[in-house]
Amino acid sequence: MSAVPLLPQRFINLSRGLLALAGLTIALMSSDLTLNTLSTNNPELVSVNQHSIGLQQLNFAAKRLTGASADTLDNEQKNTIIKLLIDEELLLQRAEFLGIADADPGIRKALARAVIDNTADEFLAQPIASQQLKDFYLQYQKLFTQPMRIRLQAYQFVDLAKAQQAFESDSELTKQISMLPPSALPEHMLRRYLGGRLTDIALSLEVGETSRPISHQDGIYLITVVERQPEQSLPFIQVRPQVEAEYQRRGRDAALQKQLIALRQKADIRINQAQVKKAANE
Amino acid sequence: MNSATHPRSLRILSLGALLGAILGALDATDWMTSNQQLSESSIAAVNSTQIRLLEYQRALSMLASEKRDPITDQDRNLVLQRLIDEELLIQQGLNSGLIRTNMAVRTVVLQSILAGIMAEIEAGNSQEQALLDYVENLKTSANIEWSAGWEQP
Repeated sequence: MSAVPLLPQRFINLSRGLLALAGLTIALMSSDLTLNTLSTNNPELVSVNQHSIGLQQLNFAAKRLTGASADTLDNEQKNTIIKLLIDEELLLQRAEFLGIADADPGIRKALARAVIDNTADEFLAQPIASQQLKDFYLQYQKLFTQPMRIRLQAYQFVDLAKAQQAFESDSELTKQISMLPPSALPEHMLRRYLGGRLTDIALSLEVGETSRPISHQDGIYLITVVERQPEQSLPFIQVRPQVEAEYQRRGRDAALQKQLIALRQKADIRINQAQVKKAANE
Repeated sequence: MNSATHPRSLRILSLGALLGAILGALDATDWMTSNQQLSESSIAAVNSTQIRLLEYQRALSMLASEKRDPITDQDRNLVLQRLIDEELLIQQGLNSGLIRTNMAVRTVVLQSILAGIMAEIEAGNSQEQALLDYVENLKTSANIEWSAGWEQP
């Protein structure tokens, strides 16, 4: 008769114990409490409001301040550095408390920069296999193609009569000095030297052909096409450094995009559509 | 008496636990925060941080000054998304402890807080002493525990 109520009481006690344990676990998980002393890589030397300063921090600071590892310092020197680290930690905590870290534009910029750099460093730390580079080269071969180049001679005259005279006589033309470098140039460089209109005329000429005198805002021009080098694919072995640089550049960008997508998925993002519409109408 | 109050206290305990579980679940699913209205001075919110309308307008006018054509809806959206990305990166930096572990960030934070303190105590005669006093004052309210194995000063 007396054994019957004992079983539910035990069950209730056990349930309460489990609930209390679950509550404690949740509380510990949500708190900032970290068991620093259990870390073997970075044993704790001192804790400041539960923020640990470990051997690793001491070594970094020793290198920063003295250029040597903390092992080479005596106890007094080590303690001086630890005291400095405590002061810095107190100031950092004060900054966090005041919300400076989140509000100061300089700090915000440095934080964003640091996250971007860390993401890039993680990607760059991965070794690149030769096959990966070759596959990348084949996928983006257009990027590693030498564009068409053209070697031109362009002569500037102050009046039309002299330009016409040079156009009609080869000997007169060869006396002139070309305003372009002697090497073959890609189209974008020609546009930089000659501008759009003269480049378009040059591109329409055959090799060995000289244009008729062209009246331009700063004088009269004659253009002769000396040589045309067609667009050519460059072999992998020749452009390997450029392929590697491009692979890393695109990889860094992709790693950052991936990071941002992951952050967006975890975040609660709300947009004030009323203000967006208002701004669009202004 | 005991047998009468025992079920009642259990009922109160269960009710409290249920209420706690419901509030916890609502908070965990962001149901409570996502229904909060954004203020008129904010263009967006990323987690608990609001992006100010002024910041958005400033970014738009910067883009407008660099662009020949008028600003389009696509430009506006791009600017807003970049501001959100920036805020996400900043929050990630804060959450991953870069304030302490990244030397560049740590230096900027320390410079900023020191500049603030120096401005506060500018009127004083000895700024160095005033700064030391400030840090000493922080120490008195801090809980500093030395590791048992370390020979402390």
